[in-house]
Amino acid sequence: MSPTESEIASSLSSHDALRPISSVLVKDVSGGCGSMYAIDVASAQFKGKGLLAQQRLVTKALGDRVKEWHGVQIRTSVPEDA
Amino acid sequence: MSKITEIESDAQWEQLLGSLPASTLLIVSFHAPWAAPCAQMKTVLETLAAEYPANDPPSTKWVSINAEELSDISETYDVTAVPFLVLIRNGQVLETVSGSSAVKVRTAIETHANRTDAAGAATSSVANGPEQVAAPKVEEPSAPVDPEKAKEELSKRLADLVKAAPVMLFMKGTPSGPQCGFSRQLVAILRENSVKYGFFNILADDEVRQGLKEFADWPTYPQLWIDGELVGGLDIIKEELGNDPDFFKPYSVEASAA
Repeated sequence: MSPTESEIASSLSSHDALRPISSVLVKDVSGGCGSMYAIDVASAQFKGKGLLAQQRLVTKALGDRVKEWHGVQIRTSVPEDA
Repeated sequence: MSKITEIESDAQWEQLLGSLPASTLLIVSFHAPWAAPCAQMKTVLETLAAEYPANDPPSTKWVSINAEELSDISETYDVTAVPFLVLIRNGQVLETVSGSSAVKVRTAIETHANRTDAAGAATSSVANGPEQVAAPKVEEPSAPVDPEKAKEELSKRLADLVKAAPVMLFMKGTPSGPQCGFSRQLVAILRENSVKYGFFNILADDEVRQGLKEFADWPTYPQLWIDGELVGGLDIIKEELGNDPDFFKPYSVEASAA
């Protein structure tokens, strides 16, 4: 991942509401423009929550950044051992 | 709550003009069925009209005119583009608003409608002051509105807007002209599933664009709302369909035909 992608990924990993994150992948899909990201997150915190609630945890963790982006693609999953 | 009457003929229009009390604010919306912003303006106006009581004598009267069919009336009011709003009281044109800015339309209507709560506030402040303000000037149209109240009104407006149809899509652009890849994809999905839905172009109304993000607690568009609740964006819709191909069945065109 590029510096920005890693930075976003680590801020997600350290976010209380999402811990423990078993895997996170952040990809700039705006051709390097930093305006759109595809984010895959797996966390035990998602267990038992509806899709909207899961994605909300992620957008909350991303915080103000999202306001600057054109868009974001989020894929959440529950790790098998959760 | 007031409803919007569709004027079907010049004769109906003449009759309406002749019968309206002098104090009623006549709100005329000129539209063309082929113009997408007009469908949106219709939703905005219906929401606004619902906020005004249908009292007697009516303080407001809301009508809609097909600008192309009733072209004589359009010419009278110099309607060169749609949507076009004309505000009339006692036969006098007070103001016109051209285009689809929901904010401008709302401001114009509220300025001239002399809403009773605003009138009450003005008179009480006049009574306490040493000077007598002559005419009951309700509000400076350009004066900054109390931000708390403005936010409340916006919330109410959004609450109505998300329920404007059982399935409501807030998108960038319109179904016939989407302005963003995700919006385009979501429109295609709705079409593939024969879903009946209402849409709102958030690019045309910045107040809704920013306000809905807060209201929904969701930072991006497109947003799909079903029965007044946020379902989510493109990702969620794709996943819901993946889990259940009949996800949209109750809202499809076949369902309503049944």
